[in-house]
Amino acid sequence: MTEETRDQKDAMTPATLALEAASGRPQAPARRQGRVRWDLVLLIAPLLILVVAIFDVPLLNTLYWSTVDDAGNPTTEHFREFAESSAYMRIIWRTLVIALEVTAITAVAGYALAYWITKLGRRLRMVMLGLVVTTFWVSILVRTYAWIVILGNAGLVNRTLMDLGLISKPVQFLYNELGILIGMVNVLLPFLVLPLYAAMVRLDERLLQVAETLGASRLRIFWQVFFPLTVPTLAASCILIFILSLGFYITPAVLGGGKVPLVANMMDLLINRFARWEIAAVVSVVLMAVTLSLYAIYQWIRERSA
Amino acid sequence: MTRVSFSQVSKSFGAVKAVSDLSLTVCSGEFTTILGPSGSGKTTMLSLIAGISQPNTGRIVLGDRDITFVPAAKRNIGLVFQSYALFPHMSIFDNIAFPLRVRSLSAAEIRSRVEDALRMVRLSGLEARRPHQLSGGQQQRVALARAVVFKPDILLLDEPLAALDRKLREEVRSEIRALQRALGITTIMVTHDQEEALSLSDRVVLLSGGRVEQIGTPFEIYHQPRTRFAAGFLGLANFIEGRLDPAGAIVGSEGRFPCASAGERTGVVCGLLRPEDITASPEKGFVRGTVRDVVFLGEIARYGVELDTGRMMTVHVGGAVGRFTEGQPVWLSWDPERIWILPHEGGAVH
Repeated sequence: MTEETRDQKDAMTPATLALEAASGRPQAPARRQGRVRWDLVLLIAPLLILVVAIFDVPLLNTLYWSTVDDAGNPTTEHFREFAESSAYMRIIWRTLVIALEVTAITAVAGYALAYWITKLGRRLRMVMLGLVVTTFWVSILVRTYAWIVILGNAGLVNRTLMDLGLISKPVQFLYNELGILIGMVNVLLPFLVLPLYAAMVRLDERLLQVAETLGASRLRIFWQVFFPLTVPTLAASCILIFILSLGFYITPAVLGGGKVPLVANMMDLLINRFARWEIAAVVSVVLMAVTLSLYAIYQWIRERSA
Repeated sequence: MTRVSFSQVSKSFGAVKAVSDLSLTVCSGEFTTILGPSGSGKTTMLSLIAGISQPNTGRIVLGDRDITFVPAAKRNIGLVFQSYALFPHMSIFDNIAFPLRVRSLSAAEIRSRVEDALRMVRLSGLEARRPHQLSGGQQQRVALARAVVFKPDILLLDEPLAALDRKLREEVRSEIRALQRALGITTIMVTHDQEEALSLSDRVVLLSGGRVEQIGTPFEIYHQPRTRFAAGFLGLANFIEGRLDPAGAIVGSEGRFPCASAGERTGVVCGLLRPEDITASPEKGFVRGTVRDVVFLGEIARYGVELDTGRMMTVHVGGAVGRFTEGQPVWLSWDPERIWILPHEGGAVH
């Protein structure tokens, strides 16, 4: 330990020390270069192998399938086929748009819900959080079919609206994009509410009190102090939800009634109906590339604003 | 210039009375410290003045304005929290500009006011930094600048030095004092630190159990405390109990302690003798004892002296290292004027 500390000191030239001091930042230990602790590497090796074997290898395998023909020779044939049919790109595009819509709706609804929960009394808070968490315990399949009962033409919502005389014929909630959106938002809401609630509760209340003594109105305190301080968590949750939305299969299949296929449903067709593994692989690779690029843009923006 | 007065203010949290029936006036332009141990209600007082909470009964008046139920945003009070509470997502400039933007000042006015405030706390040039890039002392000064930049009627300080290390504390302390003097702003500080209270304040309000124990200048609170609690809370105290002898002494089972006449008081009393007012010497003095304990504290040494009657006395001797050793007999003496008879305490309290 003492040797390490000495090494760190040696690595810091007077100039860097002065810079550190001038920047007023607590002196961070200089990153040690060139030396690898092999004993530590050995300790995490089993996990590393597990991740590589069950996660990375299949992924690379998918990439491999997309670039070879039946005989195993490299080819761009599959990508050409993918590019020639507009259907594939259209479905990927639709998936991205729906994922974006789901993310936006979840963000607005979830933020409001989380904020509302923080304003409740302690006991009611626990009850509400419990209700949010409970949705995790019910199978997605069950929940999705439950929406049919609620949103169907003779379902709870339509009947109520008609009995109240607000509409004369049933609103078409199901077997279109609207149904998919409702179902997906329902499934994904907890992924946003829980981290956001935690961030809101953690926020230093004194910041809000000080803002008030400085003369700020409630609205200003919310938009200029509270909201900006929750944005990092909001953004991280949104990214998670966006990525999760891209892989939804059951909800679009059931609530979309097969009329609005998304990427996962297309994969199902390609593999289970047509046995076109190589095209499915191409679609996966393209989707992955798009997702990673979006993520890279997000990271870039985040670092720029930090 | 603004004065603040509390009249019969009470505040409870559930069954706990944090402040009970408290009346108090803080004079205009003064630096007043609310001093007390934790649980004495001092933080509650602060939040009542700031408008973070409202009293159950009583009135709080600021100047000629009844602010008892005025929301915090409309009180025009500058508050500095112990934790600084700077907005972490804003630059130093934006932090200080916040109260000015709230008041819709022009951009040019805001710029010049922020620059003035930064110059005042000697942080010019750091406008673009974020709070986490500053040291604790610098953050504290930014918080101070932000609290005074909008010319508040009152400046409230919540344990402003508690989070700083000892050396920085001295520095920020004189800075706060200079700033308060320069602006002439009525200032109320809340603290449990007696040194902070004595060194900064024009007046000290000593709280205990949600009630005012004593109000006075630091000198009065230290040298002329009204109760044992006050005497014991600030500094070290030797309490001398006994019957007041008209000849000028407190006489009790613990010996005879010469003191000046105590005005109206007769009978059983309790006197206060500060450790630094006692002289220890090998030559004959008032009472005799034996050194039992020596603690070297740098500028002074603290001796525990056991009198022949068995009573322990604490004695401070300045600049005198190793003058006396444990087990050595000494005589103690003092200026009889320095024994202060506590006006609100009888003797023999056990």
